[in-house]
Amino acid sequence: MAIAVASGGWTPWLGKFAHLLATYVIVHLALSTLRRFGGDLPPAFTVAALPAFAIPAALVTTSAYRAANRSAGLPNGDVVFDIGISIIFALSLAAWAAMQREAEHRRKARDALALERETRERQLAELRLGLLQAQIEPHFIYNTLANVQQLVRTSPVDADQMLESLIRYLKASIPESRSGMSTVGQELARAQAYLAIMGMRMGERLRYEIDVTADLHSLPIPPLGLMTLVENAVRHGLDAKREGGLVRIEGEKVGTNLRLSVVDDGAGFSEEVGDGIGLSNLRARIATLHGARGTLELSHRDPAGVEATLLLPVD
Amino acid sequence: MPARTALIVEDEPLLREALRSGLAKLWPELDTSREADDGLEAARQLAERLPDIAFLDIHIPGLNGLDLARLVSGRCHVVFVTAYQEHAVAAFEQGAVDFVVKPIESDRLAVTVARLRQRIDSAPADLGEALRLITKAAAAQPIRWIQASTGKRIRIVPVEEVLYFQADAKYTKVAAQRGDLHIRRSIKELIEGLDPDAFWQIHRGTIVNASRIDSILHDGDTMNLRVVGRDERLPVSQPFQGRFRSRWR
Repeated sequence: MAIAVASGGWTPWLGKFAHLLATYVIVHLALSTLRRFGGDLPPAFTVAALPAFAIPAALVTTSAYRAANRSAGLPNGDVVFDIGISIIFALSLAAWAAMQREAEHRRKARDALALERETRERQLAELRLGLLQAQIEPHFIYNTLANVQQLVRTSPVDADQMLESLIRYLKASIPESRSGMSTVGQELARAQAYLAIMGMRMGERLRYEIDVTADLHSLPIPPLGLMTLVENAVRHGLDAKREGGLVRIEGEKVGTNLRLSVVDDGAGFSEEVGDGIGLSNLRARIATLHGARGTLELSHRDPAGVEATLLLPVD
Repeated sequence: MPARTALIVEDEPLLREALRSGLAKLWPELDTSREADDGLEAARQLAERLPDIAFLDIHIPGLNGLDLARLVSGRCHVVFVTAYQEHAVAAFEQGAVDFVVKPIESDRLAVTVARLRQRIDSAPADLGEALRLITKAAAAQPIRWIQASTGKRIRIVPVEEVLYFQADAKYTKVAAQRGDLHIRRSIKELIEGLDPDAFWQIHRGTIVNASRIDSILHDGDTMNLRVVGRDERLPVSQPFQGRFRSRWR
């Protein structure tokens, strides 16, 4: 531009070109400022803001252009035409940028949605995998079989009874449906078989009570929903205490919710950190299935032990 | 020579009986009348009078089998009795400690008995190194959840939901999505137990969940970090800045 002015002098065409170039520079600067500091602003806001800087920019550059013409002794054309062409240029430039921004915004939203869906699918897959692994613990099976082996030698009747409980436990551990849901009845059957086995293994150290009426048996609950809590009560509550204690399973309908509690009077929760996955798995499954409407709460009991309560919506 | 004695430490009565009858067949002269069903009782008996051999279940209430082995290491022969656990079994083998896996197979027990008979007159082995290996294998599982009480309520927070850990006077603050907790576990203990890929130490007193880092604010030598959903800036001290510089520059 400077070279053009130096070699050819100020001409009306050069002036018009400089006029539009200046408009372009101002709009571009305004846009990049907006992009930099208004990164999170919605596109609609950007669109509304366009005339607000496009029009003043056009006015400023037009008056500068006309002043330059006057000082060069050149005639000025129609003022409305000069302002008009500048505004149209500034607006179309800004509108184009806004469209770009809108497209970018949409693409980002689509990417975020895809990422979210992928994350959710991965979480579900992981949950299913975790569930399968948690279904049957080899530890429990081996230790129970070790007990059965000894009973076969010393007391075949008891051995028979323990094997029967083990069979019931294994049957109840295999999901009945592909829906990913279980029922209170099936989960109770499994918990009962587990408690019967542990009762024989631990002797007097384990006592248990179940207070869940039959009308609740058909209600849906996540697989292992009850088992995880019962296993926790026995392993971390009673087995950690020399004299053992009592595990109580309670169930009732409260309004439109199913409330299931597992209460023990064992050693209580003493660990601050742990590597078990049972409880957090269960909580994640509840969140995936019911969102905020399903909860799992744990609290201390007086004088000892833990109460775990599942609250699930019944639809 | 007086009869050799063994102490059986196992919390399940039937399994105690199973081991006792197995031993009676393979080594009738061994006196297996002494037994304990939890760790504290076992420690008391070991302090009272040492047996020649201690059969120790790993998972028992009170002190566990590893703690008991530490007590008698080099003073009596030890055989671990364990339920099947792959990582533990590998550690036993590596540490050359004698062990049997439940349910106990008689052939396997015969091998153990033959070995015991052979070395019963020599000095019991020092288990220090082997125990270190086994303890490490047992602790190899990274921390999965954090537990803390707020009044009567117990909150269990999966580590994925933790934003960061920060030393706070005598306690450690656990900043989590659904409200903060305080635990006694120190930053040093936590960094040893957490998955190093998921949790990064950024300061002597701060560990951050890498997947929850929102932005790094970099200004000359000072570096601060923000986590998703929080306004506070967490300082990244000089020794821990390297990982961020190389990654994002």
